Amino acid sequence: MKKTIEEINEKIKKGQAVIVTAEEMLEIVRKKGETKAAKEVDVVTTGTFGPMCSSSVYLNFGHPAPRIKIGGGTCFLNGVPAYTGLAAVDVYLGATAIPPNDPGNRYYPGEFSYGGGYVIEELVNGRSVLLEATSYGTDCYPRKEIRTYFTLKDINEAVLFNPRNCYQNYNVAVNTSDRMLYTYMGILKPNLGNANFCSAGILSPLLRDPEYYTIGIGTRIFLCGGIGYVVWHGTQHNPCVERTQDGIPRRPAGTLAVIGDLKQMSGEFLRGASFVGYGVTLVVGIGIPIPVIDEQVAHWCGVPPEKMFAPVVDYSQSYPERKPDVICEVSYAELFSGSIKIGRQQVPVGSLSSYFMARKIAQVLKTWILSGKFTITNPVAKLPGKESGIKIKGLEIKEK
Amino acid sequence: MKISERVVLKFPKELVDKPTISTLVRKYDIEFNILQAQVLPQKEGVMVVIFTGEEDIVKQALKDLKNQNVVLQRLKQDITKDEKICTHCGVCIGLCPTNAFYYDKETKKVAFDYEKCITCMLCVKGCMVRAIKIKF
Repeated sequence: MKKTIEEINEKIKKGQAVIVTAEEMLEIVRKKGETKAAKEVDVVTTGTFGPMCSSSVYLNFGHPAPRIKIGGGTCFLNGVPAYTGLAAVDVYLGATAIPPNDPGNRYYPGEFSYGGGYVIEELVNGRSVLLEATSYGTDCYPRKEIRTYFTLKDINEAVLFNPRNCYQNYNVAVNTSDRMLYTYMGILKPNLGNANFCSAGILSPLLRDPEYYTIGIGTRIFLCGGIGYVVWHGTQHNPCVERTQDGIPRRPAGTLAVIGDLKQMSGEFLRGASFVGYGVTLVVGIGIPIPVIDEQVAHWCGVPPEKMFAPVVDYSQSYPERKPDVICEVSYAELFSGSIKIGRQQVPVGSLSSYFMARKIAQVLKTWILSGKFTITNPVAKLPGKESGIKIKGLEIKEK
Repeated sequence: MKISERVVLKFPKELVDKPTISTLVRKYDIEFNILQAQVLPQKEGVMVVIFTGEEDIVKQALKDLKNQNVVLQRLKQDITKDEKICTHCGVCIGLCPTNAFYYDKETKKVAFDYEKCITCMLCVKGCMVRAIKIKF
């Protein structure tokens, strides 16, 4: 039995489609089996809500009179530097940018109370943002300085563009040293005092479509409360890692590059955030519909958390030194139980990714599809899969 | 009736070098458990303590402290998790040494049990959206 995307969209239009969240689908597959589940369900909605550092916006302010060429000059948004190596009034702001006068980690661990992620959140919330830019001045762009306030409504375009989001599986971070660590995986207490993971587990988009069977370039998605698209595989996309019998990666694997109109987004699903001692980031909410085109899709949606595994990595040694060592593997069932066993030690688990929000996103996406506001898409091109032979590269230090 | 009072004590400079707490427990029949203390010479000291004992005796002891110019605050009022800010990720759950944070099984929201909190403040530092605030 096979369904096409067109058939599913036709059912959505007629109000006959059966849309369930990934949580609901797991139950359906467990109770009725893959064949029946595939027949009954048309779309499974997924969701994830976690800090994703490789997130950014590009903005076009519109031209002041007289004009200014910010391109090649400097630009600060609420004191946070934006990249100006583009045309006159296009700038690019990354989530991790911090003001030049931020002390960083000079007073360790640094607080990192403001930065790019927060500017993006303020824009989404309709707040006024201070633009300060300088330029060298040209015949066609005579202005050399500008200082003005703007809101999201005032400018031409504001586009969220995230080169790497939605990690398919991720490390469980621990600390075997005898001092506290401040990392992008949160605070890690000494001597295996805690473990932090970052995944929505059975709700996580790429863990439910582990071989990029339905999700590809061009896939329409929920992005921070608005409609967005998958534009490419994300940076560090690493599909060729070891996988379970079901095809689920046992290591951090696939990633997505996504894009969407910032003007459609909501502050509920996009949040500036900061890790003490590490820096500023953006918490991004993504929901991806998985069309149940056949039993294979139902099979993947039926893989229970007991059969999904994440590697436990030591952030006091292995991670910073880029060693491939993994202490052990733990299942998502264990991670969601609140504590994991490492050797003989029972270690309390914290999560960076909000399951509550992931569930909410999957539910919102479900209502969007049910209402006919959101139809599903055939990918324009496939993401590189496990057959691609991609090998992730490290950066070697060379003299020449 | 036996009660436990969690209080934040602020010692003025002139009291910092005096054995205030030990004098107090010798005078009154109460137990104390110091959850946190920062007492430096010539500086104001802050201490978080649980006093346990008969209700009227604990109250008398606290009054005695007040009369010595120690500033008293009940701990409960000092700890807040702002529900409007919290994203319910649960990073605080793994950090908390006393399991004061937990997931509500149904809603998957992060709940906070004030009674278990010892104000170690790890959660305040660890919260990536700064939803947890502790003010003395």
